[in-house]
Amino acid sequence: MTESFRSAVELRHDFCNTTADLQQRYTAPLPDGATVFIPATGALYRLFKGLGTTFDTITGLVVIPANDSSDRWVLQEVEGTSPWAGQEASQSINNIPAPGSDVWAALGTLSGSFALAAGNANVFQVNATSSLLTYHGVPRSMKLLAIASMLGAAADIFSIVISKNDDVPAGSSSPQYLKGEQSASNAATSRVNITTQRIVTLEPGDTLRLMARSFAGDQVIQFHQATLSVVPA
Amino acid sequence: MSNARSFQPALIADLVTNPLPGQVALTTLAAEVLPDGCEVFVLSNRSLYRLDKLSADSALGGAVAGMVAAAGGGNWLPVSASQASILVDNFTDLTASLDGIGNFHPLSGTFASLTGGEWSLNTSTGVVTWLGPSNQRFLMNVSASMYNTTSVRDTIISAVLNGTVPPPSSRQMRATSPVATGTGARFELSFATIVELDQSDQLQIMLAGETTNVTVTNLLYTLTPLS
Repeated sequence: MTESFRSAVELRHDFCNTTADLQQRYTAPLPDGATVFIPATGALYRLFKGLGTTFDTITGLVVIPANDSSDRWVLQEVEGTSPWAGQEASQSINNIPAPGSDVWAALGTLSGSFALAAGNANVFQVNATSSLLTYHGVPRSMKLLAIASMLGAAADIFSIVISKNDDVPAGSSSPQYLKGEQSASNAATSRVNITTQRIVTLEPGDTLRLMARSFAGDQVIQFHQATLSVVPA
Repeated sequence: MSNARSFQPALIADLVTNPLPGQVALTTLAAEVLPDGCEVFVLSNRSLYRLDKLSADSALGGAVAGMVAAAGGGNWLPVSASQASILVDNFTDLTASLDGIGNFHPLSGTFASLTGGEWSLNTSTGVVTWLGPSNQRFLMNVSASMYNTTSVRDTIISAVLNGTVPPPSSRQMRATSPVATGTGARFELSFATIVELDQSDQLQIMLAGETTNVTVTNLLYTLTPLS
């Protein structure tokens, strides 16, 4: 066992009373990946050496050491649960004009009302009128779940899919089964509920949005309720 | 406050080969001097592994799920098991020939796996086999879009574990709904369940219904670890 390895053993799973104490922990002698547990909040932080300033705005989830380095403490869990989950929600909006038969259009093509229902607002930024969700957290594998209740004036088949970085382009008409496209049909002026999902790796700056299309017809689509959940996978 | 020695040791290592100077490769750690349950944080993939000294299954070695400890027996198992995302090939609809009296039947078609290295998928039957360590719990989400060609009758979609079809009275691992009729209609069914899997456990999506034939146009299910 090398000395550096032995020191790693002794420096893992240390304690701090508060995050203010954690800020004062001198990171230079600590190994990359060292962890500190804060009993009062049940929070476990892991040291990410050289992470830099990219995530400094995520207050609480990323702690900046006082020793003026590029090292950062990244929150891993709070009482066993992940702090890196979020959910966007919307309701009762005429938000997709008729884009053409089979053509994909974004939820929020017409200005709507969208909000972050759960999660850290510095990690998950929701555009309140366009629905675009931008991720600002550390890179992670995520499960995406979307559930939407939709209305069309005429009987038709509707599809939804979750688009990452516009990989389902608005205006396109290609099937998107590999991205989790799901479909259901409605009766005229009746609602239909559709669920879709996807597993992706999110990097800071990645965007997510719900896309929809109607088959055969050319429908104005109204989303009565829609949620887009992002859960660490 | 610092009381690291009262904690079970948790180590830091690099992955498998070519560690940086001063670091230790996980597979060369002298596991015989470490306590069972000891954890190692691997820098290369920033993932946590736990030593299971009682695990003697060589199938867990290599890149599948864990890594065989260098000495002392056992495996280094990933603390957070990997996720899986399975879906039907987008050019071949799945079909189910049902008996109309509620017995479950498998889907026929071509399946494909999107993600997940610790799973094995039979692309003809859709049976997915868990290759990782036992006692792993997953959230399973299933979404399927379908229609039938005869009538609007109830159809059930279910996840079947190790070929044991849930009894009709069971409300677990399934969803039921009338399915739209005709190729110009579609109905989407979804359900979520928590499954606990042992190594080699198998999951398969099956259908039952009051009608005879169902075509599944889109099927996707994901399994994510509960950690």
